[in-house]
Amino acid sequence: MSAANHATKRLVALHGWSATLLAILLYVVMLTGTIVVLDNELTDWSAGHTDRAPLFGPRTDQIVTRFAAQVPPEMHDHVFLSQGSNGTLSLFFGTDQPHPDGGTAQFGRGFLVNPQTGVLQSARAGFFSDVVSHRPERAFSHFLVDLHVQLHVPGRWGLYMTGILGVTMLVAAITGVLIHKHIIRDLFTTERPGARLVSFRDRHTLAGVWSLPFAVLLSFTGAFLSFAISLGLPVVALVAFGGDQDLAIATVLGEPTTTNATVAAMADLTTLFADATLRAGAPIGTTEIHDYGTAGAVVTTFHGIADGALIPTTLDYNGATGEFLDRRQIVGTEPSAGSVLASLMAPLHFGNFAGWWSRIIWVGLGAAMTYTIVTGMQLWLRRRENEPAWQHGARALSVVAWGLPLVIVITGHASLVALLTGDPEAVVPRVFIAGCLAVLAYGAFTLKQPLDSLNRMLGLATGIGLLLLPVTRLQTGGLSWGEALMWRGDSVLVIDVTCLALGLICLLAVRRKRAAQPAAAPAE
Amino acid sequence: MQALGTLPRRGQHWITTRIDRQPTRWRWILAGPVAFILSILAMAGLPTVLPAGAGGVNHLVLPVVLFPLLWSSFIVWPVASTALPRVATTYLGLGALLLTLITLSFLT
Repeated sequence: MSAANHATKRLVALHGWSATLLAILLYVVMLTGTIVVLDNELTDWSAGHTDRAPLFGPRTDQIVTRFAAQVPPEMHDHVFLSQGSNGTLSLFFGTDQPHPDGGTAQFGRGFLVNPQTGVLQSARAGFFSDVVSHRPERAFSHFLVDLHVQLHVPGRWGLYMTGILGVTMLVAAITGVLIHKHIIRDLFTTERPGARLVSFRDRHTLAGVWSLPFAVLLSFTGAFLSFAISLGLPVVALVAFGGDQDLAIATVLGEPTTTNATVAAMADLTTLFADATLRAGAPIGTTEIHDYGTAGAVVTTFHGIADGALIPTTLDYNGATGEFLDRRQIVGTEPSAGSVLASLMAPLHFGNFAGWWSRIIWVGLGAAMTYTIVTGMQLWLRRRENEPAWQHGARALSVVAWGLPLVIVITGHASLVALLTGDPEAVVPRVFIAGCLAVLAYGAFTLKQPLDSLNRMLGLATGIGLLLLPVTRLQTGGLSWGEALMWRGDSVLVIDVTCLALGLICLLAVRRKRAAQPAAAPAE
Repeated sequence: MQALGTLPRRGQHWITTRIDRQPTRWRWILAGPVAFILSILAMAGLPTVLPAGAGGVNHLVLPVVLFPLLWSSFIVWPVASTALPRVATTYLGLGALLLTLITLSFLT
């Protein structure tokens, strides 16, 4: 064998092992990543209403002024305005205090107010993360986002893990390019029949080659997003700032500093927000006010991505005069190539830069990548089916590949029911863990049954679960399709139709597999 | 002087002999821990040599952005290469250069 052949053989081994070692975690991250491209839509779908009125309307200034007068002045350090539960405006007034988990965090008071009438709906006191993040309708989507971002592993360790998974995927993609000598031809591969080894290879090649550019893009941007704050910032701070992470953060993020703490009246926020919306070309998502009620107050408005733009806009205003200050850079205070590069990472990873179209493409290509991981594992196990160490590999793969979507669907049902009966944020993780244990137990108890029977049962359960999700949503107070059509509830319609389509695909796949079995048997 | 001139050649010979004895083990070491350490060193050392740009942050952002790409490349090269001693020598030189840059940044 020539040296080049040896090198190709080693690359094939690296390609296989890099994905196999972390296959389960990679599959979890890829599948949840594909779903959470639509996380805002999932939240709207769970909420059971549509927000027809804008969050920042003509009464915003009056509302903020009224509630600012009701909290102690020291809580004016940070004011945060965002969307709350059930179409309310969430106001948080806070100041930095020691957090029980270490470090400091904002502690203060939060209010949920009807943005049109100004009527108070609820009030809470506590740390920012507990008060502002408390949105029951986000329980399901937030759980999936957290699973995707850090696998529910606390602190930096979760980010390290997903960062390593990103690099693993990047290595698999690079080696995939190097070992495929006929990439263009492979784009048009058709699967050879008979469920033979070559059939598995054709399936993996087809899915892998089509999703290759996307695999490089997603794994690269994902690894950057995981490592940037958890590893990159501390390392850069160590060398460029002598270990001073606060100075590094101030330089990198360009935090505003108070220049004048003299008590002063605030500018009219309603006018300021109208100007910001016009200037950014997109509605305001959230707003932050530093040092409210002082001459040095700075109002920062965070906008979505405007039509035709690739990155979101953030604007700074003088809070006392209402004067426009600057467009906030994601890194530093002046426009730079580095800032543009860093700000491109999130939209390219989330696919949220061109409305529905980009997100649908991202979901489709994410699904193709997830399928590539499953077919890659099938190919890997098929090549080793006679090795004792991999005897139960195919069964384990079936349990994970079918089990995870099934458990996510069950968790979706539970989150909808919990919106009526209790606290979904507590229910969702418990149901997910219980579901995982139940699927693992089912896989263990059916060890003596044929693998096809396990696949059929799990596929059937996932299909039925998906078909029933819109029914559960309707029965737990969700919008009907008529209401959704009338009130611009696009998210409800899209998620419902997706659930029904995927449910039918699962049932048809199970049926097709069953029908193909007698025919495939003689060929084996 | 002549003895000093033969040092790099003798060093390279020493590396080649060691690697040729156990190529698989060295490939694992170079693609595993060495690749990781080298990419961390690159992230730490590059801010000292890259231009800061008009915004004064390019030298801080680029190494962090490049980190996943560098790490992946440092993993793949020893696996794909048929000349492992050359990879080892390059990694050794790169590591030494980056360590010097980091040390100099602390001293200044």
